[in-house]
Amino acid sequence: MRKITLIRRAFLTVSIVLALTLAIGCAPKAPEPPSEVSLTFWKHSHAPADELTKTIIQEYMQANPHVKISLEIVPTNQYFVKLLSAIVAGDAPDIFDTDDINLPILIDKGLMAPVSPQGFNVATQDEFLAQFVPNSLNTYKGSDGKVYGIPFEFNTWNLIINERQFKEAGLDPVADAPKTWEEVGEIGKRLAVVSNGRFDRQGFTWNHVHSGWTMTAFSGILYQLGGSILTDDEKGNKSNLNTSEAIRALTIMRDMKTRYGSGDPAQNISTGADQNADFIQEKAAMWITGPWAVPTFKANQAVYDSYRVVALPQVSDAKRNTVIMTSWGWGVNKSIDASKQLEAWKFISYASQQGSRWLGQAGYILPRLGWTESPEAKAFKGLEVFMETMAFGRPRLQHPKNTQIRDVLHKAIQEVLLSGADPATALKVASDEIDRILAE
Amino acid sequence: MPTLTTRLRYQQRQSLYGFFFILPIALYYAYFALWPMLNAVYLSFFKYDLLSRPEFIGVSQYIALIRTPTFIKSLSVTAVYVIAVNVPVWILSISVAMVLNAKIRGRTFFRTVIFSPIVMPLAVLAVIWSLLYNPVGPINEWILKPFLHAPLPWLNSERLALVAVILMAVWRAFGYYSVLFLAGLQNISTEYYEAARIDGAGPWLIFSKITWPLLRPTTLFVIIISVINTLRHFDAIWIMTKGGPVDATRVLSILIYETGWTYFSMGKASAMSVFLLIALLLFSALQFKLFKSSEYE
Repeated sequence: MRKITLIRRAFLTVSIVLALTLAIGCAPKAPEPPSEVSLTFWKHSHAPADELTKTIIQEYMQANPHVKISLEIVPTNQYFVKLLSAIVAGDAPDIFDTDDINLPILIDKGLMAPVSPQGFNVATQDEFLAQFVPNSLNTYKGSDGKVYGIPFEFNTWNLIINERQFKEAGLDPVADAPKTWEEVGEIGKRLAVVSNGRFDRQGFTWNHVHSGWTMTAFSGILYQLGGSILTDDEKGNKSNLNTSEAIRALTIMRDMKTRYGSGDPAQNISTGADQNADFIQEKAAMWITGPWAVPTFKANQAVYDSYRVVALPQVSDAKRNTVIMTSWGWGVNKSIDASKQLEAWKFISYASQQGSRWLGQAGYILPRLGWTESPEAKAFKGLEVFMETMAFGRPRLQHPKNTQIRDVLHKAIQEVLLSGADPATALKVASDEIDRILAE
Repeated sequence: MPTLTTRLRYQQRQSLYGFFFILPIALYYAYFALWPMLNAVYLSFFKYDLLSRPEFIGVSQYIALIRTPTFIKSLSVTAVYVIAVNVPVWILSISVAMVLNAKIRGRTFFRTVIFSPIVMPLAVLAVIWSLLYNPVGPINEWILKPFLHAPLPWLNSERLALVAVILMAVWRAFGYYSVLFLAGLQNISTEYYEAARIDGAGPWLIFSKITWPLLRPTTLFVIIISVINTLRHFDAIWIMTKGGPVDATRVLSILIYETGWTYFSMGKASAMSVFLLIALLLFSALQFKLFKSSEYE
């Protein structure tokens, strides 16, 4: 009898323990605090955007106390050297930005993590893509169809004119704003102020401060004419510069000085550190640039008050309307673990939702939906032109050897614009050089 | 039991001490100078873009280089730059050193002023000179305007850009080498000069027979160091012209940087560096030989 009682007691005890264990196991759990995550973030410097980036990081860290983000701002001219050195040393940042030229190389080398839709609070890639302007992420897709970055700076390069200088020259900034390159030359001549052979003000001039600018200007005209830098409309592996379209594009650029006398690029005052100086210091009445430059106009309030954005002029017999588009985007280091990648994408998602602030403070046009009706968007003069021209925007040449090709082209353009070389001869030399580079 | 040091002869012990004294710097040099140099030679036989595995291609990189117009152009620009910077620097620095060695009023002040460019950060100087050369900058507006009807596009002209960077380099360097020559001049005993003057020697005879021969070690040092330094000039040219317009200022150091860090062709950039290294070694050997043979004249 005593033995049975003991067995009963033991059975009862085991049952209670099991029941308690089950009860505890099924009870709703108290939420566990997320483990702390530290992220490093490198960005190229652009003064108007640097402060906003710091502010957004602070906000995000306050809202997500388990995330610590350390930001490093690197001067743009040293940015890729530093980033590449860090990648080679296995010390790359968790989040970094890259331009559309280096992006395909970084994706191709397997250095960038694909976007995690969960980071954008959705389950599938389609739901993630639905948060952005249709097709705006195409440049950021790899050959596998996955998206590898989020653009934060979508630039369409258009013509900026100084309304006050137009009026001073007896021109109507709306009706007389040039629509073709011929008109740029003719109106540029009227806007130019020349005394004793010196340009006190250029009507229009090409910025040749580095190869990015000359490539953007030249390829815009070239695409309008139906040409391309490489064969097969940039898909081939041979130079296409030894063609009538390329020669005509470069001739149009040269004509601004030699035929119309609207300006002389040798007299430009812009430098690598101050890339829009000619327009900001009122030394050029018409200038090609992107929306990112608009906040820098505030350095001269008179210019900021009187700038007007006009759609990029087209060749009068254009085969296709074209405006060149360039971009920078945020990416995540593929070598970090998945949980960290997810946290990085969550931060990028938050940053990309601040479209109106990026536009107002940094002149960045973000392709994420939902900010175009904001007060900042309404206050941004010329936004509609930058946005509308995206419809016929075309990215600049995407090629693993883009930088080399761009530099060769830059030299040919400089030879023609600064040294008076014949466009056909300069392009023949450039074409041979590009073919040699492509054959390596 | 005799220790190692007691078993060694005096001279051997001295050598051993010496070896230990130089060991830290020898290790430093081996790690930070010799190893990268050897690594560059090794890499020059590979196709290497930093992000992929290096691929061995033997000497084909060297063969391709000598057929590349940009490289050949860069070699010629480098040669012109080195000569055009250094010849004026040598003449100016020895002349200034002789003036500063004389008993003139404000000598210390002038010595400080002439040396000052070398202590200023190069990046700052490059930006300042870019502004000076600007079409609406002081050189065009204040100095040249009365003489020219249009401003000179110093940094935007294939003809003028190299002249512009050369002028800046000469301005920056001559003060430093003046101080080196000044130190050399101050090592020459005044007794030689006094004796020469008693014998009726004029200034030119004193310079050619006393000063110049006794300055030979300083001159050799200045020539070698200044040429090596000039071949390494990069920062100021990069800031002012980025090697352009066209290829006008694309000296070898700029081309090496662009090839390695902009075009991601580390192997090719290494091959260019080896060319530069060989040129430097040949030049240094030639200098030593010339100066050594003239010592016995």
